[in-house]
Amino acid sequence: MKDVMPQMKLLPYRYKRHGLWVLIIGIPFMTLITFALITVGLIPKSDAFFDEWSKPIIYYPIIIGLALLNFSEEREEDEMVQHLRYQSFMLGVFYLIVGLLMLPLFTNVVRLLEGRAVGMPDVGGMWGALVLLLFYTYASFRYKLHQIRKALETDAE
Amino acid sequence: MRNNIKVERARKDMTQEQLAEALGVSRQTINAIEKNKYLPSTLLALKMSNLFGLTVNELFVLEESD
Repeated sequence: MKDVMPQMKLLPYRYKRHGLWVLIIGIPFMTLITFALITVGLIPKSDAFFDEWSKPIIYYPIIIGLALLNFSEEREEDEMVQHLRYQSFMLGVFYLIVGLLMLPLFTNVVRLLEGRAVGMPDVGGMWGALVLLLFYTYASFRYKLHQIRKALETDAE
Repeated sequence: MRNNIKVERARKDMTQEQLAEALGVSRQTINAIEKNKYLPSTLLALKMSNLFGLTVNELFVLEESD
């Protein structure tokens, strides 16, 4: 039977293990690399490591590791697993939206409880990433819908 | 929706594992379908009904709440 809407290709199951390894050894490995770069003078100021490099060092292995876990097949991959994965992605995006929108509220409640002045936390980068995620998701959905409609029109002619 | 997979499987003297292997899915998927936790795709429902020599309507039965 011809697949009208083919499933997205995922990485083989073994990449789950690679993802776990990236998560476990990625952070110390990246830290070592950065110290090596400081030692050879490619990062001129050692204090820059803590304010400019600490975020990428932590986030790169976490994001790559989690992406490998998310985008690789299960040991027994079938239609129910695919269905659960799509549901989980939808829920993940939903909770991300709620979480990011609620973040300033929670931050300010904590500030008020601590007797500090309210203010907007620095969430600009995260909101930008969320906007991109939602834009790419919606654009890709519209494009796929357009492709299906076009294929159906061609079939009708 | 309810289904008669467990009954038909017993009639054919098949385990969930054997049915899963014949259909190319996992045992947990067969278990989930039997317990109405997962509704299979049309393709899988057709494969299943073919295997049992029944129509899809005989294997999957609509209820009033559907």
